[in-house]
Amino acid sequence: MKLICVQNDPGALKIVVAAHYTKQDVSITAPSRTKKNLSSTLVLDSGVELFSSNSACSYILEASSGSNNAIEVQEFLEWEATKLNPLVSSLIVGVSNGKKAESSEVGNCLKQISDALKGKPYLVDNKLSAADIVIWSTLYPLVSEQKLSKIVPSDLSEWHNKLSSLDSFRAAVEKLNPKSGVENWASSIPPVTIQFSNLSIAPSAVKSQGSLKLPVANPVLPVKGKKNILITSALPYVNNVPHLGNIIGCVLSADVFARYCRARGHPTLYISGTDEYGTATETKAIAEGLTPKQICDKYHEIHSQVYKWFNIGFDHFGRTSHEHQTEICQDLFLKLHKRGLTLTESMEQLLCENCDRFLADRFVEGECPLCGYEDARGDQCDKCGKLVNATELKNPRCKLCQKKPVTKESKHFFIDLPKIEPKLREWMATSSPGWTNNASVIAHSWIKDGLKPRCITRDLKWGIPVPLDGYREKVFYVWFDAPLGYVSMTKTYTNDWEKWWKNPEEVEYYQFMAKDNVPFHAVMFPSTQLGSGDNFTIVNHIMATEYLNYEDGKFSKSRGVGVFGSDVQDTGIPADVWRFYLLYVRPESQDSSFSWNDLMTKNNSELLNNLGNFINRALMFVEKNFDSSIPKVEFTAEDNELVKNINEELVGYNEALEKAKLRDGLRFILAVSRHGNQYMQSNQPWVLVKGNEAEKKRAGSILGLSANIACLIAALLRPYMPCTTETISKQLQAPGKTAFDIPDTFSILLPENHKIGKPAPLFSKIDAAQADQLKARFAGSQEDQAARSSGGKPTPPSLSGDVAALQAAVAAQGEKVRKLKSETKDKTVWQPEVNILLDLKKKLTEAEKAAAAAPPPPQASGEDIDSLTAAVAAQGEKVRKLKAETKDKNVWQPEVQKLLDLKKRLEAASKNAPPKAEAAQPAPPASASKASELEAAVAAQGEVVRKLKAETKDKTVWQPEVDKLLLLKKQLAEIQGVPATQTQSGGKSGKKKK
Amino acid sequence: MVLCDANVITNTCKFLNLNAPGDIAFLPSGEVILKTKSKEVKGFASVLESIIISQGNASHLVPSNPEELAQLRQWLEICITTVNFADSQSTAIKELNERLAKVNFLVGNRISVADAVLYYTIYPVLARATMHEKEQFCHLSRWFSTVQHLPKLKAGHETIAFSRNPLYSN
Repeated sequence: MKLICVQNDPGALKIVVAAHYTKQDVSITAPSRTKKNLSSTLVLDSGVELFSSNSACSYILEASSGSNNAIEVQEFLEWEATKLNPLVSSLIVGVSNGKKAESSEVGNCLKQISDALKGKPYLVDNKLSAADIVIWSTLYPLVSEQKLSKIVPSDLSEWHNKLSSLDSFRAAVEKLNPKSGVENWASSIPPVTIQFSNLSIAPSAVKSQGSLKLPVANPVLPVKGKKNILITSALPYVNNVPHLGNIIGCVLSADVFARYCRARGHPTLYISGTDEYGTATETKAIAEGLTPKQICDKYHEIHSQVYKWFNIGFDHFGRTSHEHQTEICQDLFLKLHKRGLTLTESMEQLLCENCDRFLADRFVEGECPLCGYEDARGDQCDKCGKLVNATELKNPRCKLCQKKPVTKESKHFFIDLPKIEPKLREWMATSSPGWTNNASVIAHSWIKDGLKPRCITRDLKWGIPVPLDGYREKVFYVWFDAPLGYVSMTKTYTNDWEKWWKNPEEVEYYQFMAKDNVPFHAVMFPSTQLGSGDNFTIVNHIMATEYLNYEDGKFSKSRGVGVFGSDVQDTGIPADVWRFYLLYVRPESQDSSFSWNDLMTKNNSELLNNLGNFINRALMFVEKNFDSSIPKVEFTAEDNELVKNINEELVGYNEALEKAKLRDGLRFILAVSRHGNQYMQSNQPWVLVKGNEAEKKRAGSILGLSANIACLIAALLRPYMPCTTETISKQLQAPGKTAFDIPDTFSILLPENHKIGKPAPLFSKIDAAQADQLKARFAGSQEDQAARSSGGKPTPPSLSGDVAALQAAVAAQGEKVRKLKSETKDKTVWQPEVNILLDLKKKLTEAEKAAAAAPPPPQASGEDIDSLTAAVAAQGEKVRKLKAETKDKNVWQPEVQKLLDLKKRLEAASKNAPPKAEAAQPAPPASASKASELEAAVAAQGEVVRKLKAETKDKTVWQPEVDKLLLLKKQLAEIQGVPATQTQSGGKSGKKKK
Repeated sequence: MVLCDANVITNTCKFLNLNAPGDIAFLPSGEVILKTKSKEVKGFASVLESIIISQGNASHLVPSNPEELAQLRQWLEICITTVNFADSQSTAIKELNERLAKVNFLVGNRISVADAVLYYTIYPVLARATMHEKEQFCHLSRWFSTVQHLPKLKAGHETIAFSRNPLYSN
C-alpha cells in the first residue's frame, strides 16, 4: 500500500494508525505539486485509489479482521466527515489567522464525544474500532497544540492521551512526524473543507437556488431619506452579438450613470439582462439546428462575456427565460384581465397540423394569388413584388415540413389601451419633463391621436404561456413580457425586490435605451403597470439616445456591418479607451458616427497628450524631485484662480451627470486636465525646482496642487474609465476609497508628506497605420471581412452603383416591413412603409431597364432558350441569396433542385433548338467518360463563379473565371454532340461573343 | 435544501428492488434517520449503507469485497460532504468534476449502487444547469450522460441533454 499525503494531515494519521494496528506496511510519499490541495489518498496494491481517509482506515481494519464495521461505527465516521472535521478544520484555520480559539459548535461536538465515552474506554462496543482511530486523529491537532487544547474537555483529553500511549498510535505519530504549530496544520487542510464547514452546521438552512450561482450576500436596497436610484437598460435581444451601437445605446450609458450615482453615495441598483423569447429566437434556433433554450444559453453567455470585457458593472445581469419572469408576467396579465382591461378578438391564421404550430408569415410559402409565382413567401411575392397576406396564398405550405397548413381562427388577447389612456396621459404629463427630448417627442406623437388596443399574445411556442384555459397554447408577445424582465431580474437578485418596484415615493427610476425602444417603455410598459392597479415604481427618466453610425453607413446586426462586441477584444485597444471614445461620440442629441481615424485622434490628443500627460508629468516630478512625497501646498492668487476654474468645471460636470448628459460630462473632465496643463506650463516647476530655496518651495507647492488635481480627475473618471481610475489610484496610493467619491468642490485629498506609488504612463499611442489597418479589417460586411481574411481581394466599389443601391434599399425596406408586420396586425402602422417599398421597387425596375438597355441587346435565336436562360439566372440568384442567408440545407435545397432542373431543361432546349439539331450525332461512347469529367469541371467552375459574383460586383474580378466556365461548357457541348458553332449562335455564350 | 434527501434514498431502494427495512424520517436538524424494529440509524450515508448491506451480496449492483465497499463508502462520503451543497456552492461541482476525471463508473468497471446514489443526488442540479455550465463540468457530464441511459436507473427522470461538441470557447 502507498499513502500519498502531506505531513500534517490528520487524515493520514487515521490511515497510518490503522496500518500499524493491523501490522501492515504502508509507504508514504508526498503529493505532486499540482495535487497539493487534495486530501490524502491511499493507493491499494490493486491500483484502486481511496481518497477518503475514513473509508481507507475502515478498509485496512476490515481487510485484516474479515468483518465489516458495525453500523454504529459507520455513524460515527459519517458524523466525523460531515460535522466534526469541517468544524475543527475551520477552527484551526481561524486560529492560524489570529482568531481566538473559541467555537461553540466545536465545543458541542466535543461534548457529544465525551458523552458517548462516559464510562467506556472506546466509542463502540468496548473495543477499539475505526471510530476511535478516526476521531482520535481529527482531535490530534486540538490536543497537541497549546493554543487549541484549552477547548478540549479534560475527560476527552484523558481518553486521547490513553490512546496516544498505545504502540500503534505512538508509532504512527513517529512515522508521520507532524510539525507542531497551528499554521502547519492549517496549511494541510484542503480549501474545500473550509468552504462547506459553515454549511454543514445547519444543512436545512441552506436554501435552494435556481442555478449554480451564489445568492447575493448583501443586495443593494433603497434607504429611507436617501436618493435611491433604480437603473435599467433596454434588454439586448439574445439572437445576435451586440455591436458598438447597441453597447453605447443602452448598457454602457446606463453603466456610467450607475457608477456616477454610486460614487455620489446614492443607493443604486443597476439591472439588465437578455431578452430571450419570441419568433426571432425560434428562427435562429432552426437556422442553427439547436433548441431555442440552447440558443439563448449560448448567446446569453456571449452577451455576458462582451459586457464583462467592457467592464459593465451590473448589479445583476439576468435572463427573461427565468421562472420569476413567467410568474410576474402571468400575474400582471391576470390582474389586467380581472380589471377588465383586456379584449379578445379572432384572427385568421395558418396552422400547420404536422408541426403543430401556427405559422408566422416567414414560415409560409405558396403560390402568389396575384401572379401565380410558386414560391411566394407569406408576406411578399419575390416575383411580382406585391405584398400578400399569408392566408391568401394558393396552395400554401409550411416552410419547415412542406405540408399544407389549414386556415384556422385563432383568438388573441388585446390590451385595452384606450381604457388606460387617461391615467397614462396624466402620468406622462408629470413624468415626461425629466425625459430626453427625443423620448418625449416620440411618446407624445404616439398618444397624440389616441391609443388603440394592442395584441399581446402570439401563436408561438417559445414564450410565456397565457395562464387561461383555452389560451394555454399561446404565449405572450415578446414586448409585453420583456420590460417585465426588469422586475423579474430584480426578484432574482433579491427577495426584497418590492422595495425597489413597489416604492415610487422613495425610488427614482431611470431607463436607458436607443430611441427605437421608446414607445414600448413610454407607452406599453407604463400602461401595463398603471392598469394592474399595483403601486408600481414607474419610470421617471427615459434616457433615449439617437443612433450611432459606423464610418459613413449604418451599424447592422442583420447584415453584419460594423464593429461587434466580440471583435473589439482583438483590436488591442483597452476597454477603457473604447469606453472613453464611445462616450465621447455618444449620440446624445443627434445621430453621431464612429470612425477609426477619430478614435485614433481622440485617443492621442485627449487621452494621451492632455489627460495622461498632465497626470504623468505631475507624478513623475513628485517622484523625481520630492522623493515621492507630496510637498506642502501654499496657495497663491494664481492657485486660487485655478481652483475657482476647476470648481466651475466640477459644477458643470455634476450638473451634466445628474441629467445623464454623459457626453458633456466627459468634456468637463478634459477641461479640468487642460487647466492643469496650462497651470504647469505657465509656472514651469521644472525650472523653479533648480532655483533658490523659495523657488524650490514654490515648485513643490505647484506639484502638490497638481497631484491633488490628478486625484480629482481620477475620481471624475471613475464612471467613465473604471480601470484607469484604479491605475491612478495605485500610482497615487490614495488613502481609502473616499478619495475617489465624486465631490461638489475641489479639496486637498493628498496631505503633505503623503507617499505616492510608482508613476507610469496611463495611455499608449494609436498610430495612423494601426487605425488604417483596423479600418480595412472591419470594412464592409462581416462576410466580406471573412473573405478578406481568407486571402481574397478587397472589394472595389460597385460599377452599377444605381441599381445596387436601389437593391439594397429595397432589401432594407422589405426587412423593415416584414418586421413591422410581425410586430403588429395594424395596417395603418405598416401601410406607409409598404408604400415606400413599392415605390422603391418601381424605381429599381426602371433603373434595371435602363441598365439593361445600355449593353448591346442579346441576339435571340430561340425564345425558349432565352427565357430559360433568364429563369436559370434568376433562380441562381435566389439560391445564392438563400445560401448567403442561412446554412440550413433544408431551406435552400429545394431551390437548388429547381435550379438544376431548369439547367437540364435549358441544356435540352439548346440541343433541340437549332434547326440542324436533328442531324447532330449522339455522343460517341468513347467520349462518355470525358463528358462526365467535363461536367464535373463545369460544375466546379460554376461554383467558383457564383461565389465570386456573390462577393463582388466587380466584373473585372469574375470575368476571367466566367470565360473559363464558358470555354468548359463549349467543350462539353461539343463532346455531347452539339456543334460549337450552333451553341455560340444561341444561348448565353452567344451574347458574350458579340 | 440540501441534495442528500429522502428522495435519493427511496429512489435508490427502487433501483435495488428493495423496500427500506424501516421508516425513514427527518430530524429537525435536517438529518435522515432510519427506524427499524431493533434500532435507529442516523445519517444519510449510514442509512444507505445499512439498506445496501441488508441486501446481502447477491446482486452485482452492491459491493462484493472490502475494496468495493471502501469505494462505495468514499463516494457516499463525497455525496454528504461535497455534492450535498452543489446547488448553492459551485465549488462543490468543480470538486466532484475533478474526482470523476479518471473514472468510468464509480466502483469497479460496471454500474453499481454508488452510481445510482450520485445520479439521484446530482440530478436536480444538472437538470437546472445551463449548457454552458454543463460544458464546464466535462467529466461530470460524461459520467452522467453514460449512466443516465440505464432504464432502471432513470425510472421516470427525464433525460438531460448534453452537447457532444463544445459550444463555448472556454
